[in-house]
Amino acid sequence: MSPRRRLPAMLVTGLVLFGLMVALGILAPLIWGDEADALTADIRQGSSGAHLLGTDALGRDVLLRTLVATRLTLLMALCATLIAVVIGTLLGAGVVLAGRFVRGAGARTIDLLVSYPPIIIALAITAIFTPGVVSVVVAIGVAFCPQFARLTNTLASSVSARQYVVVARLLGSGRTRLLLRHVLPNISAPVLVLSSVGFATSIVSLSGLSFLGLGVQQPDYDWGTLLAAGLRDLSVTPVESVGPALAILLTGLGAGLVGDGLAKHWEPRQSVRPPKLRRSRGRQLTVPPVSTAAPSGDREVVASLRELQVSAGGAPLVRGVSLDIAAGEIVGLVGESGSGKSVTAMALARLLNPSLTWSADRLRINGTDLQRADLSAPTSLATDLGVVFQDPSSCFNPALHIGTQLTEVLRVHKGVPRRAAEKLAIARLREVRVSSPEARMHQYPHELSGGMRQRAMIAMALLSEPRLLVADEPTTALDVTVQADVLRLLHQINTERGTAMLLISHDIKVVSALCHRVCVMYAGRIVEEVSVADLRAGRVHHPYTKALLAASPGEDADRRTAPLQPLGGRPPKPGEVGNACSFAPRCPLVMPRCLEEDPVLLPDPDGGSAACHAVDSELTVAR
Amino acid sequence: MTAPSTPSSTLPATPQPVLRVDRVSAGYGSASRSARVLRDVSLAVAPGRTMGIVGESGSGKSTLAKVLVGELAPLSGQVLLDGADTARLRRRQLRAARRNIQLVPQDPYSSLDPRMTVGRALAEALDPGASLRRADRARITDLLETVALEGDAADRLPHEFSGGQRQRIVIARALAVQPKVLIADEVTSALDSSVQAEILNLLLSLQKQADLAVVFITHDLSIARYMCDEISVLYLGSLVEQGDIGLLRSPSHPYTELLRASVPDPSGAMFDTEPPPVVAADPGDPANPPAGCAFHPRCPQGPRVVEGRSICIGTAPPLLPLAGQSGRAAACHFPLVRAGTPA
Repeated sequence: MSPRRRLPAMLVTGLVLFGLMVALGILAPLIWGDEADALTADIRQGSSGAHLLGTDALGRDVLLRTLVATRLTLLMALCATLIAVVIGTLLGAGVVLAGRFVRGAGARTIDLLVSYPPIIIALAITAIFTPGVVSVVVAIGVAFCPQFARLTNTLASSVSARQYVVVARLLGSGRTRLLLRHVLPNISAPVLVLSSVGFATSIVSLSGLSFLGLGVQQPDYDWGTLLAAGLRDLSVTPVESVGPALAILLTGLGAGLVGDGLAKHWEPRQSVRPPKLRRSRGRQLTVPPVSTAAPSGDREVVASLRELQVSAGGAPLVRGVSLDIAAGEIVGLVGESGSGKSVTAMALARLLNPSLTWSADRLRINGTDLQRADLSAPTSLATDLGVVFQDPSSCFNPALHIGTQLTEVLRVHKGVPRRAAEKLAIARLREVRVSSPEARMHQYPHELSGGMRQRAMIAMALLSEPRLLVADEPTTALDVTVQADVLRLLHQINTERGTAMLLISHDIKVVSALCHRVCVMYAGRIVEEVSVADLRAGRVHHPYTKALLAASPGEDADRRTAPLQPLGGRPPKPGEVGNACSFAPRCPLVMPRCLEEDPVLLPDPDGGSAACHAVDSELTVAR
Repeated sequence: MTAPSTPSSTLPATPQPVLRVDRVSAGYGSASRSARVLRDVSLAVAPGRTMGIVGESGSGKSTLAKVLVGELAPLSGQVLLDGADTARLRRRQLRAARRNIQLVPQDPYSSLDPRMTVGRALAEALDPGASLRRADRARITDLLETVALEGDAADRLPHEFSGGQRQRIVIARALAVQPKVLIADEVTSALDSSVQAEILNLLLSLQKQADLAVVFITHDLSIARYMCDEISVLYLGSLVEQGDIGLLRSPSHPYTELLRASVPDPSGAMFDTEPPPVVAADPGDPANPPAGCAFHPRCPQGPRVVEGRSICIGTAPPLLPLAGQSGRAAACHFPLVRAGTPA
């Protein structure tokens, strides 16, 4: 359930204004109906105590007439808007569900009609019929149809392409039911917004037509006719036109505010204020420092992270992750979505979304303390660390040549001259086996295949010869043959250049194929750290890691003899983690202690470490 | 050992196919100027059996799914359901026929109407013509229970469920109409691996209960191996290999072999052998595939690697039964032969 949001002030103001107008429309003719038609001898008078807005040519009070005219004006605008919305929506949405020919022809026709200004169409229609309330309402209603048809056509096309409409069709639902059940409810919000804006426009247009004498005829009157009368007397009693003008303005404003307010209410993202950059440091830890996921041997450490905490609005996403990556080492970070693996990697690359709060006891890359480093000059970081993202197509600017984007890194961050930068970029592209690299430099990202784009991104990440490459799901968006190709490339870069890597993946097969050491994350923590040899051999300790292995179809999985073992339940949401072990609700080995105390990472005899009470007690017994 | 069966002939062991696809070609655009992305695809699925469709993006997997469920009319060829050509059915019969083939789409987030409660979505499946308010609550609860969801799920909206739960709701909806054929289009690719196993096992047990014929579309060979009895391998819109599940272990077509070798092997053995660089070439446009064998520009056994194989450039190889391998067919001039390959 979504929490109740406060209504935007704009919407409230609009609703109040509009509500007043409606109340006036209902009550005014009842109270002042006769008085407003009463002829007096005080013709064309200016503002006075008796007649606040003066009187017209027949001595009638303009204020009262304006108030009484509210009903007719609003009713006309309402009817015109209804005509436009109903016919327009049925046309626009109905065309989408029709056959292919009607769909195409309908869309073109609507496009054509939209290109005529509604007021011209309305004028043409009123010219055919005798002027009057009905003809002007029909004219405005019909004139605004194309706009609604256009909007609903676009919206309905996108909704009807969604899977649930396709499935409903397979279930045997007819066109009308599809329209009423699935299409219309899902486009109702924007249509309603446009309706209230349309209402505002139709008041203005109706008044315009009445003003021209094509609308309401004597003895009826709306704001338009009042305004027209006022304009005739403008030189004598200018105040006469103030009433109707103000009424049109306020109603239009009210309806417009309602429309914009509704739009804002339904799409709260538009109103989100840019988050402030917050950063807390040196937080006191509630959990004792734990054994770190550390590289074996005494190789130089390229990246070092201690007690990383990241939270979003108070909900912890990463809860005390410590990680060291040695030179030349490939470390895998594996876990389900929401486990905090990408957040950890992005924190290391200092690419965290600014709305997140983070702290760490240590965050060092290549010996540079990134917590102290000047925040405004991340240039040195760009040369220490390269990042490869999941979706290569969204990481390149589609409007710029590959070459421009590759050389930008060197030219901006290292001040390399253009020629030299180009040469270097071509060399890198060749290294990652991009075919005909010189030609690629002048191509746009969309001209490259998915695999080539991912290679180009890897080339870009390697341009400044970083010692650490952070790869966030680098093969998830790729086909299996391309994935193999990119994994081979990463392996080759690691063996030939000694580039250390942090590989984030949800696929335990990918991780165990490429990595040297694997950290398994669950609910914002590393729960097990294991060498890849042990992982391949199934020598894992934490029940979550075991469950992950049992759930992924391997070489020997067989639906009859060795079915996959699904892991029931779901991981906790960021706010739900308490003092207990976060895996306890899904754990087959759960014991009372697990519900009272969150286990810490402790070394196991195989040289890895696991955060599990059950494993601890097992090991203690074994000792 | 799995019972061998062929797409074109049925052995006594297997029942008559309920779904038969006969030389179907399909594409987009008008009939005269169409971009064909599926060419001459034939397959057959019997009740209780699973036909896997594997291939990379652009192979025509999704187009085939669209043709099977009737969203796209084939340009030529037939889709036969219980022996009846679905294209020749009258409107009412067609509606009934369509209900016999149900689809479980890839993305459980877009396949449920966000404004419709789960109960109403299931009610619509049970009887699309009836009022959703007077739906049969007992049957809806039953349906939810078959996919291990509680009855109170009926009153909630899709966004209140996780991806795995949504996919179970989608499966429940597909089964509500008691179809004969289920098209599962990449059903687990949007899900976490721990949830994936749950959905796969659920599909298997439901298939067994209802004796469903399943067409299982996937890009993941290890999942295909787990789920399927037979496999059709598509490349740029054409079948390159077809047969029982054993073909994934010992492929005859170089493309199937490339797919097999591309599955990340936990042992890391994939880094020991480097395939020839041609395999990384761009596959090309499915609507306008390379002449001859469409795979020839990327083939590690093809004309770009092995001398004297120009036939691959000039002549498209037909899908022919393989000698000595019952029920297997491959479209390759030089199929891979393995001496003493275990079945």
